[in-house]
Amino acid sequence: MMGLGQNISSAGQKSAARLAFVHYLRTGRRLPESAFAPAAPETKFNPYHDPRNGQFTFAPGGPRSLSRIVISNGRQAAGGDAPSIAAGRSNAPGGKNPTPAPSNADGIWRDAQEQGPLRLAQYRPTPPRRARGNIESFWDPMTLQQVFPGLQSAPAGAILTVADNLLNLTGPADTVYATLSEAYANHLINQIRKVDPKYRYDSFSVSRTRAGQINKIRQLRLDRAFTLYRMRGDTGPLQVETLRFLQERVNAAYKVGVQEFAAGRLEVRLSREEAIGNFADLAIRRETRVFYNSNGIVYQSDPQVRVVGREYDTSGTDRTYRIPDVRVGKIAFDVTLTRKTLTSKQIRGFFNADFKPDAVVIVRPRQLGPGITYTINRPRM
Amino acid sequence: MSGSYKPYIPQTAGEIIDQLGWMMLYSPKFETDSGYFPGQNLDTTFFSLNEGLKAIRNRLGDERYADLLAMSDRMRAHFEADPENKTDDTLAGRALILEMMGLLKARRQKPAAALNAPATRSALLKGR
Repeated sequence: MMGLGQNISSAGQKSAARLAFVHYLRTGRRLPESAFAPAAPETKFNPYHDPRNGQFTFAPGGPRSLSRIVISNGRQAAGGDAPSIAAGRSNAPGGKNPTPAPSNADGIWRDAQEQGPLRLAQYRPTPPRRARGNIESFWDPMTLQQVFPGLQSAPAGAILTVADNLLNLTGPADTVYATLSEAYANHLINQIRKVDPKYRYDSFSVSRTRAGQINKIRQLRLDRAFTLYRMRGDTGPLQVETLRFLQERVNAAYKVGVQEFAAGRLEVRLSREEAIGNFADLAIRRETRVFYNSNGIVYQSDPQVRVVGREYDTSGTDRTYRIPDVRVGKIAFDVTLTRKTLTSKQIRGFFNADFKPDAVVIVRPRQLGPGITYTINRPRM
Repeated sequence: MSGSYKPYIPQTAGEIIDQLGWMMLYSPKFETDSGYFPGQNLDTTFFSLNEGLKAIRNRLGDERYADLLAMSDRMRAHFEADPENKTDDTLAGRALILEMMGLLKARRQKPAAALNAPATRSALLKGR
């Protein structure tokens, strides 16, 4: 029970003001000079004492004491799911919960004013759940930055490969199969209704087959993307859904094209790849038009979504143009069998177009190998 | 929202050529296992083709339009006769697809414009 003044005064004949300054230098805390006067009273407060006799009691200070000490949480907010060792005592038969009288009969002091259950001292309430985690972006990307990891920080002109399995519909569908599938569908429906309160999903029954659930989730993702575009002009989700669509359809077209070529049913002028590529190209364009048409996008006149539309470059003396397979916002999509880079005149032409795309996404059939779909970031020009 | 097949009508000769290219790959049934196009079948496919031809009838001219429509009907008959792709009917139908594409491409042939557009359809396909 020695005051600061007593401790320090033994070190020399320093004044209280000087001691206060030294204390400030050492701790960064300013205390009144009176705290350094000789025989200053103890100012520390110890909350752990027995109010009946004023004696100090044990305080939570280590694992041993924590395992035995019980404190009351009555003064805190009611509720919570903490394990309560007093639950059996406080819940009287008949559903009544009488107010406990002050007592220390069991060696635990309980104040009459404390109404809450007793809880283990080591109990820590579950931290509140974050409003939105990052994990969702891995299996439900809403922007191309999530589809192509590193796109945002990539240097100009960089080529980035699509993340593995990111476009795979069966992956998330498997994960959410059965119980979670419907929950996820409801989650999507709620997301859409936040944007469009009048939205209704036309479904007569719960999908019980895996294929049905995959189709339902796919349709809801599409509805979300198109709703966000129509209501808010947000092209991000639509770019992702367009990429998903193109990837699936180019895979399918290539597969059929290979079969037809093997059966000798395709017209060949130059090579196998040319024969397959030509018909796959035509088929995908047609399917892309159907895709947008069935979702209410007038691709002929829409300012952000275009299918096989001319993109002009008016920067030079002669007006020129390039024709991306699809353009959504400031992203150009090119479906091709061959690998293309910035050295390609066509790709440079896309970047030079007046709509100044942020990136060109090259979509190729998965059958050609890993890393076939990638994006080319806008180069510095 | 979407979920059922909504009829698609090609609006230009180029879109009809794309339609025919798609028909080349997916004949004779014109059904895909994709969930993107539920309800798509032979009826909807020929509805799109014929309505597309009708949409550009003025640009085709009555004679050419009539020829193309007749070819479309013959093509449909071939595909309906061979739904499992086991006889030569499907091949005959595909030959008609190529013939129609040739007619439409010839219609679209234009001298290279002031723009740097490739002159032919195949050049368009290769050099876009």
